[in-house]
Amino acid sequence: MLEVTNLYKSFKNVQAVSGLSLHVQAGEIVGLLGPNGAGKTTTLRCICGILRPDAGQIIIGGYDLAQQEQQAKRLIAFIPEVPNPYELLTVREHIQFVAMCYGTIDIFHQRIEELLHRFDLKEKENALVATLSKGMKQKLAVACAFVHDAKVFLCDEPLIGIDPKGQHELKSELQRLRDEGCAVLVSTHQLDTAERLCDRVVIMQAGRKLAEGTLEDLQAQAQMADSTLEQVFLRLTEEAEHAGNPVSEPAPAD
Amino acid sequence: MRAILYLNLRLLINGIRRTFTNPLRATAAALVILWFGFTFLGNLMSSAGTHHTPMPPELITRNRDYLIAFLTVMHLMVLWPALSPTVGFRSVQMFTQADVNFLFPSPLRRSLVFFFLLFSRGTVNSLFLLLILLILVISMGRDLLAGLFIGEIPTHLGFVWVYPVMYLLTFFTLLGVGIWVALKEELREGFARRVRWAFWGALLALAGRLGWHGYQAQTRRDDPLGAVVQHLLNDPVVAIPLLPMRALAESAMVFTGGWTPAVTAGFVFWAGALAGIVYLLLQHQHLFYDLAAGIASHSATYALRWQDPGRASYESAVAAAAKQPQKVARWRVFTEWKPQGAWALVWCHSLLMARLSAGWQYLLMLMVPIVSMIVIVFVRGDMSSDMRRFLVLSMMYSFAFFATMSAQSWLVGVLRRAEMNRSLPFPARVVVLTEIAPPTLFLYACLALAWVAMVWFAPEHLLTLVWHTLIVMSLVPVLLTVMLILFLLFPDQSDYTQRVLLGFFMLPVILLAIAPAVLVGVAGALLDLPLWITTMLVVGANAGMLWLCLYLANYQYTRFNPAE
Repeated sequence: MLEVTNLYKSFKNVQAVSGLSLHVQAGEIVGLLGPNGAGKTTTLRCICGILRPDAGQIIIGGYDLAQQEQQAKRLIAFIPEVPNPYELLTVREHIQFVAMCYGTIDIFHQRIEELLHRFDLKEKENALVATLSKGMKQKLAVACAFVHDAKVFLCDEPLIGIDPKGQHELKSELQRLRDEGCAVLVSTHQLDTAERLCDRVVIMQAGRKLAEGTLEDLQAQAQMADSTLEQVFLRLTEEAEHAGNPVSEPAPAD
Repeated sequence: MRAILYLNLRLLINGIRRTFTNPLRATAAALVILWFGFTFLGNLMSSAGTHHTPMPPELITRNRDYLIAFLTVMHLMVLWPALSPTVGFRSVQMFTQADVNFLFPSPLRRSLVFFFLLFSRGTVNSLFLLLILLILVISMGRDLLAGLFIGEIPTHLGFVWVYPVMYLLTFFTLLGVGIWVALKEELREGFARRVRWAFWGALLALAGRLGWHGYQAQTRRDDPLGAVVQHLLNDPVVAIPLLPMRALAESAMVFTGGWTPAVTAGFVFWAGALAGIVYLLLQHQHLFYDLAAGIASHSATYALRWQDPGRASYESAVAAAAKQPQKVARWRVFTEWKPQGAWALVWCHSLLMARLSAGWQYLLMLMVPIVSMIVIVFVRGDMSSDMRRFLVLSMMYSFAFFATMSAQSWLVGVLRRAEMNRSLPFPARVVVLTEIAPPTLFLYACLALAWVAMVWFAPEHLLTLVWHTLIVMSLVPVLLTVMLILFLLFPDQSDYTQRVLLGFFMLPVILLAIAPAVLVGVAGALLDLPLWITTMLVVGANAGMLWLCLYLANYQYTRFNPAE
């Protein structure tokens, strides 16, 4: 459903992502892990078309993002780390606006009440977004992701700032999406959550892929049988650091 | 397309609605609307039956030339920022993080989204100038304009659309050029710097040539300003590069002066230039969102200062330290002074003031009057004592006024710190005082420098300067407090309604604040009181006004909601 091949992205002199390849199949949740500055957010922003890669290919549901941008984007829902929604829209208007962007106003009318209730936004539906708490804004961003029929969900630290009930709700939602055949790519620092929620994980460091696979695969790679994902993660990233950070290379010339 | 239209419409309606749910802002907005309505109607009714004596033809031509020259230069000054990535569209919110998170991942065409956001928000930003012109036209009245141009009521009102259309064409083109320069900078570092140097170089060369003509006229005992205006309009070396701006200036006068060839040329030039720049931009459309995300991130830092002060100051401090860790300034006075209680606030705010103030800006501001004085002495030669006194006093007052106005960024900081400072165990009036004190002292230091220069220039007026310096010193905290009140009333500069209201009320409120001092000063002069007595009375009036302003600022500070 989602296939990223040899992705490169740099900002001025900083190589943010260097030769990353990953894939997420339909009905799979993949965790994107890594220390701060590893390039996770840049990767997600490239996949959802906010940033243009320097090199590499991104295929979403069979559509090449570079060539068939609009078709590919119709299949994506993006939940940003810091939502920063439009503060002068009301909650209801915000969700409606996102639905209009995707041309799914019918779905909006069908789902709006359910979404407002599910994410505890009903009481605030006519309040300006500016008046919402940080957690409520995050819930709004999540609700906006469900207002069109996306097949690929890209979640950048989606649980940050949400209360325990909301976190539980969102995790259940992601699992439901997996059961319905959607592909979910979640960037997170919550390793225990990733361990329980994700079918596979990709560990990034300094813009490169350090490891990929199921918990068992990673345990084998780190030679730490029966260890938690957190222990494995720390071992792998520390080893990579001691061995010298993998050198990020610039994108190959066309 | 419908989605973006819906977004902009809702943002506008909700912004207006929010203004009218706050009683103070609602009152302010109502006052603005009433002022527009009554002044316009009043002018219309009073000018309907009046007749004007026609001006002599040579005076009409002369006035017209002066006005064209003035409007040309004014448009150049007002519009050049659109060219600059840092000034033109990064400091205002052309693109926001909300666009990045919700609009850019959507399947809408990126060229459509990019141009729509750029031009729609650019239009709103650019309309502030048109608003100012509208205010001027309405407040001066039609009679004045009619008398100034042709001595009759305008007869070309059908052309009233010409100026806004050409203004927008110009603004969009320059904005497009600014975006193109920024895109090129993404691809090739240093491009923007070269463009900036070329632009400023060309501008300085033109100014130098005009200055030379002015100087020559002066040595011939001619009218230097008239010579500058004539060369601005007729010297091919200057007039041709400035022709697009002159076209804009003439289009502003088309409803009184009629359609001119320059207006036609202007339309052809700006429409062609806009088409050309849009074509060039479309060649790089794959980079639109990258650039917009960068601008949004820059704008977000700006917006964050208002919305999440703690995080913003922390992030900017971290970014500054990361960039130049060795350049964080430290002063012995601040490291050794370890005050307790409310004095800690004075310590903190003074340290921030010292670190934040771009000293060179104030020095530059100081240099402008001093260099102007030197130039005037050079050009005019001997000057009467009265003339020198007039010069130094006007320089001192204008320096104090503009330096105080430039403290706006400090006042933004006051809002940023409000949440943190209000949690401290001090009454709000103490916090407000400690916020006003550091910029006041800083400006006093600048004034002291200016004072030395003034004394050197006009030593015979030493005593006069002393008294007027006292007046200026009493005026500075009043102006700062008044501006703080306005910023507390209209804190959200990402909301267009509040920006308009802040801009609209700035000057009248400042005039109101200095009115008692001016009245007392005028009364003192009329009664022929000794200057020291007048000074004491004026300082007293300013002290009273400061007390009142501090009371109002305190009231508003305790009610200010940083979440807004």
